[in-house]
Amino acid sequence: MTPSVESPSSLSVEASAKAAAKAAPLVIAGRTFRSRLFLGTARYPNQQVMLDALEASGAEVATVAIRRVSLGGQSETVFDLLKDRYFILPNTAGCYTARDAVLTAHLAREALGTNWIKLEVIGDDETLFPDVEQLLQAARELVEDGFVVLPYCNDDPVTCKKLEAIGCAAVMPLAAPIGSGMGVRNPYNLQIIREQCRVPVIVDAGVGVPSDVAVVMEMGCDGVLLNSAVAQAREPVKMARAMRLAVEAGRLAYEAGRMPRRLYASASSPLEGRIQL
Amino acid sequence: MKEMTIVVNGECQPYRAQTVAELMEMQGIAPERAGIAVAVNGKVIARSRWREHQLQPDDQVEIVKAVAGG
Repeated sequence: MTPSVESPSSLSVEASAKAAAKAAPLVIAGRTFRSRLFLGTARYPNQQVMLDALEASGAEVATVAIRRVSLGGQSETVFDLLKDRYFILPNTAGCYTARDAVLTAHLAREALGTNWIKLEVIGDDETLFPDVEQLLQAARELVEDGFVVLPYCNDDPVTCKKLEAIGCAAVMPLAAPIGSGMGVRNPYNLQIIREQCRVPVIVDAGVGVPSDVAVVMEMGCDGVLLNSAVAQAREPVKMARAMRLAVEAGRLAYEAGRMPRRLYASASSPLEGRIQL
Repeated sequence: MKEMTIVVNGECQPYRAQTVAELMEMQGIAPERAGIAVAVNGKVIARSRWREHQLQPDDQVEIVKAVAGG
């Protein structure tokens, strides 16, 4: 009888194939995340679709915004809905100054009991591009105040390096303007950012379809944060699953390492032993 | 004499000598609810101090919660 070391059982083959095909987990500020997809909770047709999309996306991180309560009575908040199932990442969306962003981060920390903040400081209301000067200032203050700062920023390697030097736990360059669905407008900048930064690079904003997601994951970006691409799809729940698969496919492909490109063909099947007539 | 006021979430209201918690109850917001934060004049007031922090005339009060966001 053949010893099992030479002829592994089909069970152990399956186990070893599964282990080899497993992507590395994402780690930010010492915390491990099971999914590399972060999903926003806004602009869905209704709340149930939002919840179903979150489920289908496999995301662990769900983003929320901080806004005034309406005076004179209160309904259920998005925090009540999500707090037991997701890692809630508050943002400072809508802030145009470092001062507003810092106060919003402090309010989020008090309201939600998290020192993680997706820092946004907007400089222009048509493009929603970040105000880099205010962003750097807010990031400095929040890092000093003990926050885990994840800044939404331009696809600019210099800004990303500065944010990293300040002590941000990740950088989140945009692929295209927020909510535009334009896809990856400058893949080479994202590639440079990935090569030059040591903190995780989470591509935030502007992706439209799963192929956009796959492109940035294949180049080694560590994750993707999206919202409108799912929420504004005709069927958000299906798109959520499509995005999940794209993130996983792109990451696995990056870890697998692509084949070299060749200009000319290279036969796959052996040349020896062909029949001759 | 001009009437004393405070501003709550951008809404100008007559001033009453009360704590943050009393103001919230008056606005129909239960102070024990999770997921709410308060700032007065740009400074966060910790939840543990809502029952002792006395509001002053002309205070700017912000009461916030999480909403759907991206």
